[in-house]
Amino acid sequence: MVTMEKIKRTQLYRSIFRHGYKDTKPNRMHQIVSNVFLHLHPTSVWRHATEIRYTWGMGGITFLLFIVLTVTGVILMFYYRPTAEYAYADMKYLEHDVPFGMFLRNMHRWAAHLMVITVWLHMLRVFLTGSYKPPREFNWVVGVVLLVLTLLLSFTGYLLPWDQLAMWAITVGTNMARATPFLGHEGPFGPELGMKPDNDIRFLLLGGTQVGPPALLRFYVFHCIALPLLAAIFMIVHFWRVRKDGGISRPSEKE
Amino acid sequence: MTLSEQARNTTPLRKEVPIDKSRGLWITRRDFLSLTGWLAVFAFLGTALLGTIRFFFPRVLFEASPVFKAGFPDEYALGEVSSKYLKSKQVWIVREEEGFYALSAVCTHLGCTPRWLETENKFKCPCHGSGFHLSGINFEGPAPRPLERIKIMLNENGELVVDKSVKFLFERDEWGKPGSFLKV
Amino acid sequence: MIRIFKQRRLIPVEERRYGAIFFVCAALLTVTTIWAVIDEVWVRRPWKAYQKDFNELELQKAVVELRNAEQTFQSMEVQSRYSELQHNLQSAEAALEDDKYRRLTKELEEIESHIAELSRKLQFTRSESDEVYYRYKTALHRSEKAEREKEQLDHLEREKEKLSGELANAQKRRLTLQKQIRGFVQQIESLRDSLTTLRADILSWQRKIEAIKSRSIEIKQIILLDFDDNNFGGRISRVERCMTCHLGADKPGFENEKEPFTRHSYLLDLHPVEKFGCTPCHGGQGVALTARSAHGKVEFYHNPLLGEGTRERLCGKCHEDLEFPESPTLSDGRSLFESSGCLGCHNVEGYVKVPNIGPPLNRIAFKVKPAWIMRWILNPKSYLPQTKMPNFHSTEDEANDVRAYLLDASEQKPKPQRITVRSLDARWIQEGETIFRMARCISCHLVDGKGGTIAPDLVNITTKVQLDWLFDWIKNPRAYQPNTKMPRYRFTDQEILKIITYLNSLKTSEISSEDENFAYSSGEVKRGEKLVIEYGCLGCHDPVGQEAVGGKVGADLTFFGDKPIENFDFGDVTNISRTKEAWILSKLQNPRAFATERIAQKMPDYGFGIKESRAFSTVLLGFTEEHPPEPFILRRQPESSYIPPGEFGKLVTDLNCLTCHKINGRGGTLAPDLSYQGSRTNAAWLKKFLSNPTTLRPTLVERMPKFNLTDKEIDIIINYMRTTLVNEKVPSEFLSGEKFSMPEIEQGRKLYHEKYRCQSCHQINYEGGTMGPELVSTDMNIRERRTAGWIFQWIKNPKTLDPATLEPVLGLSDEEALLITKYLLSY
Repeated sequence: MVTMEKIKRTQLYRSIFRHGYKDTKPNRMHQIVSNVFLHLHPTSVWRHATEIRYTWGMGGITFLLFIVLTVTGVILMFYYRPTAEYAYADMKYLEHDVPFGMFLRNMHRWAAHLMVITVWLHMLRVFLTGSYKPPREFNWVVGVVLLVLTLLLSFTGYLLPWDQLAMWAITVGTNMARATPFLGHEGPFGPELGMKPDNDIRFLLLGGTQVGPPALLRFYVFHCIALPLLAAIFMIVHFWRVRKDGGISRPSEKE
Repeated sequence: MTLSEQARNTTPLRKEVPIDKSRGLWITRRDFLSLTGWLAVFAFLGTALLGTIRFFFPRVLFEASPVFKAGFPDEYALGEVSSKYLKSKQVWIVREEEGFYALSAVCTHLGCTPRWLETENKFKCPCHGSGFHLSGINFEGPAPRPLERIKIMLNENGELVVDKSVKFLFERDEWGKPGSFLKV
Repeated sequence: MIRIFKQRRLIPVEERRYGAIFFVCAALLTVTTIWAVIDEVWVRRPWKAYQKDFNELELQKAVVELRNAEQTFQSMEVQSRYSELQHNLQSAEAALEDDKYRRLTKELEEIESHIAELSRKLQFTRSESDEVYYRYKTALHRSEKAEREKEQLDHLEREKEKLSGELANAQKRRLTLQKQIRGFVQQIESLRDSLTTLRADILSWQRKIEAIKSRSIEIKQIILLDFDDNNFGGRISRVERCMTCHLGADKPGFENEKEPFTRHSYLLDLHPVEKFGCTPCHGGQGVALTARSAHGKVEFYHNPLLGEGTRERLCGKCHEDLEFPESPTLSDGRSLFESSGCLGCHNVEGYVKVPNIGPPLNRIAFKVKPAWIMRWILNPKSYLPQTKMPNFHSTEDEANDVRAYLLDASEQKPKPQRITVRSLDARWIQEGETIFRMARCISCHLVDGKGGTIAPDLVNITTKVQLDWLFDWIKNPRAYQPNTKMPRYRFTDQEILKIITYLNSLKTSEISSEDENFAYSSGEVKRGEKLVIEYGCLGCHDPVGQEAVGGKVGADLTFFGDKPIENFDFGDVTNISRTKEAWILSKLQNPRAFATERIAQKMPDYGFGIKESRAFSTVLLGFTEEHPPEPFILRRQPESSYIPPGEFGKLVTDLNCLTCHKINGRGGTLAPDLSYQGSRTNAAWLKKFLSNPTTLRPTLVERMPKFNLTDKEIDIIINYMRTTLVNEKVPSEFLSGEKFSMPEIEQGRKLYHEKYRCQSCHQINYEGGTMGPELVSTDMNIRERRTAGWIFQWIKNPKTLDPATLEPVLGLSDEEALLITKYLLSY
């Protein structure tokens, strides 16, 4: 105990942990505000914001899953090569011989499925509790963008195993882009604007006219860098707006 | 009135009971649950960390095998320093009157590939000028120790087999060991 | 439960406790973590245990071997030899204490350092000389005087020469010293070597045991570079890890161990695993490391491990040959597949081209009787049980329509009858039979259940064909069908009539009277044409008339083996298992089994049994998209394009010699290969044989027919053979006119009977084995038949003359072979 006290008095310790756990209101506030991970939280919350059955904790769970996906995804990147020769084989190696490879791959896969579900549930909850209403109407829009990004992440990740399922799912999925108005070569006004199979939006997505090695590389970059980055930016805005628009939504306080 | 509002208006069901430490229990039930819970979390994080570290050491490698066949002994002329496997395997195979030995073509100074100079009867490293005798012993330049010898043997077909994963170091007095020299 | 939640709601939200929930979640997390570790370390790594078991097993075996080796070493004779050698070694080592040896080694040391000194000096001098030479030359180029340099250079050159001389001397001295020292050491070394040799077995087993003990448990793999295709036409490598568990596959001594440690059959030696891997032959998922997954017994895996009965399926991926002893089922299946005409209706991309198997029908009206056509279409096997023509299960009306069409489209109509058979003339019948037997027609044709299978059964031939056609046919078969296998016999018209009379007497059924006034309508012809096209008659027969030649009527079978089970239509059949094998077996034995009232099926009935169907399923399920790279594939040898030239060629074509004989790689395998006939057979014997072929091998059905050749024709054949069909290894005119002495013959006899025991396979005067052909008997004498040169070369090394012969190569010397030859020629 005495040594602990001594350690706590050293400059090194105090340079890292500026505040003790003294249970006073200002100190509690300091703890939150001065911690990089916690400062997104309000220093105090409304009583009913802690009511689980009101929010289901869905936003938080979704964010947790996003973190799980980021961590497992980054680890998987160490063994996965996004080329036509190796992609499928690398997935097989992860499955069969890499230590904990199958575990990590399955964690990534199931977390991804789960994240799509929790995002939808989160949206459903927001809708049911009417939390999209002013002043939160902009955050609803940000939320919709995040939903789309989640779906895109799921879609781009689908191609990476590079098996038959992946090939055909992406073939079907990207064929929808042919019919994009103005930008697709089979969409309304597309041909009139000079859209052809080799210069329309689908081409941009695939880097070719069919699902091939360039599409794999493109989807890999989207999946691992572009989309997560975008999602992270929108998440920052989303969380920030939760705070600024009156905190986590809760039952009305009109007693 | 919602249930929670009701709840606020009634008195709390549970009261803070001062803990009597003298009653023998050194920890409360609440603290026990919390402690075991945190233990579980840290056990998980620890395992995950160890697992992740293990993840970075793959079980199989897709590297070329260090063992390779180098043809039959009669393909080598007496006194020849064969550079046949220099480019692909970084190995010289030397045929002496009494037999064969294989030298690793990695300079012991900083790892360049030396060259065999026939006229001067020595290995010469182009990077910093280290020189080695035919035997692999260093005699000039900055190289601190002789070239490494590599395991060479015959397989059941009578072919030469070189195993780069087994090295024989002169300074550890390993050049006399079986495998460092193949008698013919 | 609900009550607990209701009560909980009564607690103010900020005072609710979550300790229990937290605890439960934490417990779940712990359990999952432990599970993940167990799964990773044990459950999904069964090979660790297998390798441990295998190492133990191998260690046990090695320990036993080591004990045996030690026992041998402990035996009296080895021990006495060992101590003797050791004694010798000690005395030899004592000799080293000699003064002379010490002096020599000391001198050698001195000379070594002297040589080092000299060569360093020489090197320095050489470098200096190089430098001076450079300066000297540059001075000259600048047209300066270079006397000083010249002087220096000369001095250095002299120095160099002197040093080289000294060095050479020193080296010479070193060599002598080394030789002398070696004289001392050599004996010791050789004694040491012999000592080690005595213990060699023990040492090697000890090393082996050490190696086994220090073996690490690891995944073993082989990479087949660029073995597979990816979806974009690029090649990708295949990774094989089967040997991680199947550890004894290439180890002698593991023949009787349980799987996965069993040793592979000898086929592994023919297909070294580093080159061929495992899955190209066996199927399975090479990269996987648990049994179920590695054996491909997982959902959607397209190439599962082949088990009992299906094991030959993948052999055909590389081996294109038809005859292949290692995979009898596949070979059977392939020859059935090709000879049944499957490729007429089904397309298999990349399969060897096979010609149409059916006879042309464009002159059918001239050849056969209308009533017979009807019978034939309705049930071909009732007339000719061996026929390849399948049963289409047609109705009478359909058969009638097809007949009408065929007769209508026929280019040649029947002529008014010219010949008649004297069906009651017993003398003609008997003479006809004699001619028939003499000509050995039953070498190819079946009569009374006896005879060859090359050509059709002739019992009811006169109920089938028009007699006029038969007459013309026997007279000159090529006139009707240019590519027939039937030879042209040189029969007289009278002889032919007699043969026909004889054949007519054989018939077991009567000729229908319907033929006399047979007629058909144009409606029938139209319907018939449609049927001919629809049922794929053109798959086997050349087009008869003006039918449009469309694509193949059957399903494409190129990737039949890849077809998922969902794509197989089982129709109303519910009593067989839903597997591809069961479907194929059922389909081939009863091709219309899966027809329903809405889906008709056209494939005719070939009358295949279960064995044939199994063979077919091996072939069909091997038609998959997977294909090994070109270097792995053993293409079928194309048939030789040899065409016998000139007069001889005309005779060969006319007599259809190549139906049975092979010449220079082309022809049948029924009768001996004639490529070296000129070297092999004496001309006199050949002449006798061709004018009247006697029975050479009485047990055979297929014998050389009598063609009634003229002397001129026989001379043409023999001349060609003697000049062209010869083997260079066989000496011509060998031993001709020589007389053999009795002692020579006696020596030869001894070699034949005692040393090489030739009589265990060959007969001389009915004594000896029957494995090989008889050499001397009352109606056969090798001296008359074979040339001396052939006999000599054959005895020396039969494989040089016939690589496929069963006769062993005994490795006789020229002298021995000559003696045996002389002995055989003495009979």
